[in-house]
Amino acid sequence: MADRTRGGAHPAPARNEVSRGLLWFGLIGGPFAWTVQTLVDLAITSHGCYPRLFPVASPVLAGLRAIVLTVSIAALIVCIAASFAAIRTWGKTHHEHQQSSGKGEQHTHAAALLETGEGRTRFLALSGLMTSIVFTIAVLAHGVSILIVGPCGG
Amino acid sequence: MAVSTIERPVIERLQATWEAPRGLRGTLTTVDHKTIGLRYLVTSIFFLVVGGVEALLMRAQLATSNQHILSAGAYNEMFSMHGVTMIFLYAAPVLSGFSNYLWPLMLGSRDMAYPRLNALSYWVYLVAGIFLYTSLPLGAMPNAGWFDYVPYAGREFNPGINIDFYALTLLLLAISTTVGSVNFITTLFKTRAPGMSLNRLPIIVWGTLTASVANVFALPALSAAAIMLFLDRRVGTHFFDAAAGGHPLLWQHLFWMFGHPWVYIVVLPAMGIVSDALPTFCRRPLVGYTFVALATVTTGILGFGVWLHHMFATGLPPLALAFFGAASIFITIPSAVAVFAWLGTLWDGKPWYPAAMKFMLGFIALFVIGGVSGVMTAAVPFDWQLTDTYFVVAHLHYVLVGINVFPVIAGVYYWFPKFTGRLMDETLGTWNFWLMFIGTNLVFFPMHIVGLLGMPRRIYTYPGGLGWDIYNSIESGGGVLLAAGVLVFAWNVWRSRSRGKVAGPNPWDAGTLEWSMPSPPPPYNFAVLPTIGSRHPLWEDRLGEGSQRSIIRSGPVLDDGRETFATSPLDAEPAAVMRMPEDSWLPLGLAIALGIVAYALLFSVWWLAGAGVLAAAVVVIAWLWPTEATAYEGVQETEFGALPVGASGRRSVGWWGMAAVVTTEGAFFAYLLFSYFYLSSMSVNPWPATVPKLPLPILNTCLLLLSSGFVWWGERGISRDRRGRAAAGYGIAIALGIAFLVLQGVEYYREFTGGLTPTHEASGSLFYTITAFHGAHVFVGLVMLAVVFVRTLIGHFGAERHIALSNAALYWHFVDAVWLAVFTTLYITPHLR
Repeated sequence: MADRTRGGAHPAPARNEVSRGLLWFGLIGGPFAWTVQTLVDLAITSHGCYPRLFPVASPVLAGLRAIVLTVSIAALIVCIAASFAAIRTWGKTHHEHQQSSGKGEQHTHAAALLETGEGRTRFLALSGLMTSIVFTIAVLAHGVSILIVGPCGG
Repeated sequence: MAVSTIERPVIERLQATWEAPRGLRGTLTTVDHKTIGLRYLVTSIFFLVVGGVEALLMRAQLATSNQHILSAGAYNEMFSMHGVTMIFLYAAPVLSGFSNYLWPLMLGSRDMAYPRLNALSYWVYLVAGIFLYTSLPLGAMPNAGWFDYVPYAGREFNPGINIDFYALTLLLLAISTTVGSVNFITTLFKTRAPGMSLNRLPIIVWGTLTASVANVFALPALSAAAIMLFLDRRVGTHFFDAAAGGHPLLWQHLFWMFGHPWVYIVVLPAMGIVSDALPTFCRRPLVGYTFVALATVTTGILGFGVWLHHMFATGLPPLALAFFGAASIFITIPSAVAVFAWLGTLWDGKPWYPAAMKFMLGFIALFVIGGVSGVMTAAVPFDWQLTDTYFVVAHLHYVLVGINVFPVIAGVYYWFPKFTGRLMDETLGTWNFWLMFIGTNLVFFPMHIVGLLGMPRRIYTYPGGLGWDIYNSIESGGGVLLAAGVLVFAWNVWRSRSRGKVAGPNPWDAGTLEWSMPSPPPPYNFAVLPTIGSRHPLWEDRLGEGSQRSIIRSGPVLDDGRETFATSPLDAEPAAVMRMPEDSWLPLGLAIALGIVAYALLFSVWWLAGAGVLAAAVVVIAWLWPTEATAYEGVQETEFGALPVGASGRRSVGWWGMAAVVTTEGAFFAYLLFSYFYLSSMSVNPWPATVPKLPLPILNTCLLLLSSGFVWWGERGISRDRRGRAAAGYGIAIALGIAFLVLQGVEYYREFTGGLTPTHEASGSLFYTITAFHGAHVFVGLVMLAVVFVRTLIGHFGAERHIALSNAALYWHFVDAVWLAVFTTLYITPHLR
């Protein structure tokens, strides 16, 4: 078959060196965990503290705080796992880098990656790492609020 | 067929192939993305001016205390129309204008993935704008704000047709925006130039992609809310009626589930404009490209988890307030990343300051001010003090004017040479900037202070002696300056399009692909389709960027009709040669049909509504009918090897479009089911009043699941070239689908006679709405199955060519999957209480 990249250089030379599943888990694991945490915890606290038309001072659902905390811990575990997955794929694609990006020879590999994102596999791996970190922080903030705020204000 | 030098006959052939016909026919039938993009820009900026005039009227009214230039009712209409116009008819469409014009040029393609859908998106947008402003001569403009809260927007308190204009306009705009978003998503993943891997995209592409994906998930919430509102007002359902099991807060939840992502939808592409244009004027690439790209996407995702901060004062559990307060604070992280990237680019570059750059610097300043006031309102106790005061008005205008209008003006100055071949006047540009920058700050900064002093928003006048007069007078004076700045801009555009300095292909010495072609670009965009080797194809030699070099001046021509490459989603490897459709009357026809339906529903002319739906159906069938121009013609030799002309499955653009449609439809049903659970959880009475009987729904579920199995079996058959098996599978599925609809009718009859009607109480309203929408989807799926069944019998499909058959299968499986969710919600959960 003819060369489909025309010129011989593929934009993602390391694409077959990492599992695509691991790459995608690193990218979407954090956002997915945070979404589930937000929606499930909102539904549980709303139903527990605002059953029907009027609010209550203490939850009508026994163990409400433990339930939402468990959801948050599970979400945190997924975020951390996604971070490790991203670190692993990033490490394995370290060499997927095209020399002299951005400012010619003055650029280090790291700076070149941040400014030009080459190559594609490494770009996605680094993106996964950054996404996982942001969503780990968001999940943690959500979880901490469970510890310091009374569920129904009572 | 592929050639590596551009010969004159080839250019002439390309010109003849891609150029729109001259005259009225060409004007109304063109599908050229550049023409559509410019139409979006001009129309949306026209609406910006209209919304600005409405704002000036309000500012005249509020300039001093006790004024009566406008009555209370007229003022309500003014701020409602101002909001709807600016948010829906200006802020998002103007960004669609940039993206429509620029995407194929930046991505190295000949057009968007679906050119006719692109034209439809614009025409429906225009019809929606005309429809909304029909309310002006009729004296019935929407009057409940752009947020349109019930119960004030309900029939009891707002009996005219004002709110019906609002609801139907939003539904038209939802159609326009959804088809536009599906087009952007498919274009991005399937029609980039070979070599343009995901890490080489311009940031505006990331911004519009994020906004488009957000639209796919967010817009159905607004559509569901608008449909429920219309049904409450015109049919007598009870979605928002607390006396009959509904709840007004359901509107707020649905509206802000859409509304907050929408805030990011109207700013992320604008931030992308700055991220792409600012480096040009700093003479260096953007600092932290990966961070900025990811910040864009992350903001879009987090934007879905903060809707409740618009409802902090509605009486929510403290823990829920804490969850959303935290998310609202952390969403500033990615925004701050972008700001530091721009500052870093300025710091490390050699900036120069033409008008476009001035507007971008102004944008950064306004963005920071608007962002800081946003963080303040993320703190729940602070928000409680400021809810419904002018502080919030100040915040949202710093965000929308600062992060949308300023980058848009910057973008016009930056890309005007590409649009017209001429530069805009820089002296006028400087006046333009300072008038708008000073005006914006004079209008909106004092609103923070007057808000802290307690001035509520949406009041049409106020008494003297409260200390508000001086601030309001300054704001109104600032409004005049801002308007003067917009006029200078309009004059500059008008004057420069014919008298501006001739620009040439790349007047700014920019690095992205759109600057590689003549200004304005030819109808075919690229004489040869480029191969991309880096993010800055025009700066490669200067930067020494990467080990590859883009190939722009030679390469494949693809001139056997309207052709471009279909490429792989991640690395843009050529996968097929796409045949693009010709210019067409169909988009305009469909938009007119939809407009007729809207007017007919507004005035309750049911026969006309039916005729409009029928006309729309006829146009859709004509649209989907196979034509010679897009017919499959086997395999073509290219510089990238032998590629199929057209393709089936995931290599085709058709599959991606259908997948996006199915996703947004799935989101629509998710919002309907959310409404069911929400109202169920708020209901004092048992929900529903009687537990549904199961035998008939279980039988119906079995029928649909069985039909999906037969469709799967038939599709597997065609991929092995067994047409008889495909026809048999689809034929049996059609019979099972018809049986489902008949049994659904039997169940309706039984429930109606048993006393459950759509207007009895909210649970009945939801039962009929959800099942009727699902039934409508089954009907559409049956029509699709019937069409491909007939085409299978005719012999249209084979192992290598069955995209229509696969798309019908995908839709049918989706309809069946939705039924499982509907069945579980409506029939199983009541048994669990």
